[in-house]
Amino acid sequence: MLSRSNGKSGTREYTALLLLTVGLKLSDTTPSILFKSGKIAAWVIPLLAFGVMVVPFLLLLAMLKSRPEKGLTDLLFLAAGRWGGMLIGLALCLVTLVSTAFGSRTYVDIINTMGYQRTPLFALYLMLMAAVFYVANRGFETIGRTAWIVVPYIEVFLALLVVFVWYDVEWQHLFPAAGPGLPILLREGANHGSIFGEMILFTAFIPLMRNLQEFKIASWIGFGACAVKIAGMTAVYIAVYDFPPAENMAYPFQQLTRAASIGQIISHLESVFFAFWLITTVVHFAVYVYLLAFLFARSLGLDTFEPLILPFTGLTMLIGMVPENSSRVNQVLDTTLHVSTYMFILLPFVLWSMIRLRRLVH
Amino acid sequence: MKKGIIAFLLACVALLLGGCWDKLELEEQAFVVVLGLDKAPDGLVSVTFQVANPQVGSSDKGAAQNEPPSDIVTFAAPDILSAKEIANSVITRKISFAHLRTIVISQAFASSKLFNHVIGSSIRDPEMRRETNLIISRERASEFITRNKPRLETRPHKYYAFMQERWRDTGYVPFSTLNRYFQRLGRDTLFLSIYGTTKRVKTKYAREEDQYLAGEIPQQNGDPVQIMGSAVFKSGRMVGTITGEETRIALFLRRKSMAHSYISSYPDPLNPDYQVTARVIKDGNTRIKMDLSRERPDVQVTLPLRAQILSIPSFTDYAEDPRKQEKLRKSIEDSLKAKIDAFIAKIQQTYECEPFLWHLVARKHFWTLKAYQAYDWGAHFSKAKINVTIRMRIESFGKQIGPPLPLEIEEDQAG
Repeated sequence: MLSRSNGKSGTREYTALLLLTVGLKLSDTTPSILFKSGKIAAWVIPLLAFGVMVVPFLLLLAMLKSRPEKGLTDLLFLAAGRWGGMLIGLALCLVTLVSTAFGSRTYVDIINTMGYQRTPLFALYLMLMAAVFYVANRGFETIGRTAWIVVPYIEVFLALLVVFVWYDVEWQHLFPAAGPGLPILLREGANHGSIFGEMILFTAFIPLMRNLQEFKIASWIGFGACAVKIAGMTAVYIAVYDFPPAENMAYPFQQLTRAASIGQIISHLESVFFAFWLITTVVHFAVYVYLLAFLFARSLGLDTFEPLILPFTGLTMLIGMVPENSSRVNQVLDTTLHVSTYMFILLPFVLWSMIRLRRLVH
Repeated sequence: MKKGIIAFLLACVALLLGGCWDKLELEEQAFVVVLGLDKAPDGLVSVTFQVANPQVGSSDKGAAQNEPPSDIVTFAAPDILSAKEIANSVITRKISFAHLRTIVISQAFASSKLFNHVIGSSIRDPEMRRETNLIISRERASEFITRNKPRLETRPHKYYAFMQERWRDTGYVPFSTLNRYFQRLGRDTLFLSIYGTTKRVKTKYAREEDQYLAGEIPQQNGDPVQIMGSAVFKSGRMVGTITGEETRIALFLRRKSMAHSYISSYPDPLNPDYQVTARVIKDGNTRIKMDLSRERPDVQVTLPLRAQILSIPSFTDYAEDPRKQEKLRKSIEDSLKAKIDAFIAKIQQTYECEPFLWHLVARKHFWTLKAYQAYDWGAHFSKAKINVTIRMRIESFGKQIGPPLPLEIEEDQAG
């Protein structure tokens, strides 16, 4: 098992990384955003969103197949030229920056509301981002390995959480099955495709992987499992709280950890879950900050990107501190989700047609 | 790298500060174990806190010999949270709801419009848990809490924790938590909450031991609190009460029930002067089938039960005679069914809604939320034709085969 590291990650590490970074969405405000649009059938949306994103993802993989060791950024330059590639790259950077900034703010809000009410937001934010920087600065391979170390505990604890609340689960709460109606559900599923926007964005990481095959396997396992996990947990929230109450809850995951109990006596289990959730949060944002620096450097054609990690960590925090409260953050996040969905879905098609066009011209 | 080290050191400093903002010393906290809510003048709520004294009942008792196990204070405030803040002008330690498990609400306050607003807004506080139990008291909640001096439990939280388990076993009261209250706020269902009192109303001696409401149970000595029956809530407001027996029926008719076995007595079919006591256990889930296509919906309910006969005071030899057993089974089924039918009719007439969670079954018949809301299950339920079938089998007759009769009487009967 002990092999010398060559700085590249394999299937195992990348799958673990996806399970943590994307899977963590089940515990933030993503389910709340889904409840707003999908009502009682909100749990179907992650599955639909995954289905929607599969098509552009497949196209992207097909384009990358004949170009080993190349990632999303290389493809951008190949399709749109030097300036065009840079522009699209920076646009992707911007979307990632906004969603990372507001996303991290959401997590700080959760920590503030559920754990430390009197601690200033800024202090909590600073601590979180410091930890994030500490992990991100170690590089992609280390993030992957960290993810691989913690992922078993996280998944086991998630399963335990469901076991501990099983007493309160009533699956009949999931009916009427179509919620707001099938057409609305399908539309919302497509609109929320960017829950799995990472499927497109993370193709930038291909050069950091051992080979494309390992990347592909890890992607399918990782994203597929996350779609099931997010959908499953959203269904559990409705099953435990029933419909209108679930919609009004800000942080259903954290409230669920409070409902968890082992028998009558051991009832305050949330701090255990809170600790594991915090570790996952740090890994989650470390990946995003790393991706930001990576995308930005590659778009500008810079050779090294590690020095950019610290400024981007700071920038994320600066932007994240702007909104006054969490409901504003949610509005912005929902809009970013919508806008970036179109971007992520269209991007591979645009790239593909541009490459085609170039061939025709030459 | 240098930057990294600086950032790390900064983070360390921040960690130290973080400990100070939200630090809580165990010593300086006052854990509220029971909260009481009453109506107060001018649209205010009067909030009663029962604060536990953790030293009593622990090995540290020596240090606090003259302290009572708990302290009870009442304040009037616009809501629970501001009352919590005011309370700290009297109580030396910081009030914490972390161990709050029971909320007692007076009947008068529960019937008012204000109640839903007060309880609904309190859930914003992260310290309020959805697992908190609700008890509706006949008298003022402050009175209920003050008068509740359990003799066998020194510490108040123990009393409520143990009693809740007993209540759940007996099924005389429902399992009522805040989470269930919020789930059943809608117009399509009724929420049942535990009903209790420390006062005695009129003691009535009923032949069947569960036809009581709290306060009516004939009792001599013992703890003052009686918990029996449930308060019925419709759209977040208390609208009536049902007895212990009716509560048991309501819980039995739900698809899944938390309380699985009830001991109860039924008329002896062969000797009407006596009762037969049996433990009735739910044998799997209640099956509910609905036909909602007609204006008067058709509801078919099948209740699978098994019974263990515990005592036969009439000394009839049911255990040995299959034909008599058949009679007994039929008789228990009939008497149960009569009670169930009467209760369902009463619910249909009085509340135009149901506490059996059948609305969840009705929801399955609709494809979209809109269609379900437009259907208005509550109104249709009150018109529904409901047919309850009981499938019971008698499982056992205890560890005695025949009645303990002396030899000569047995000869007498034979001759």
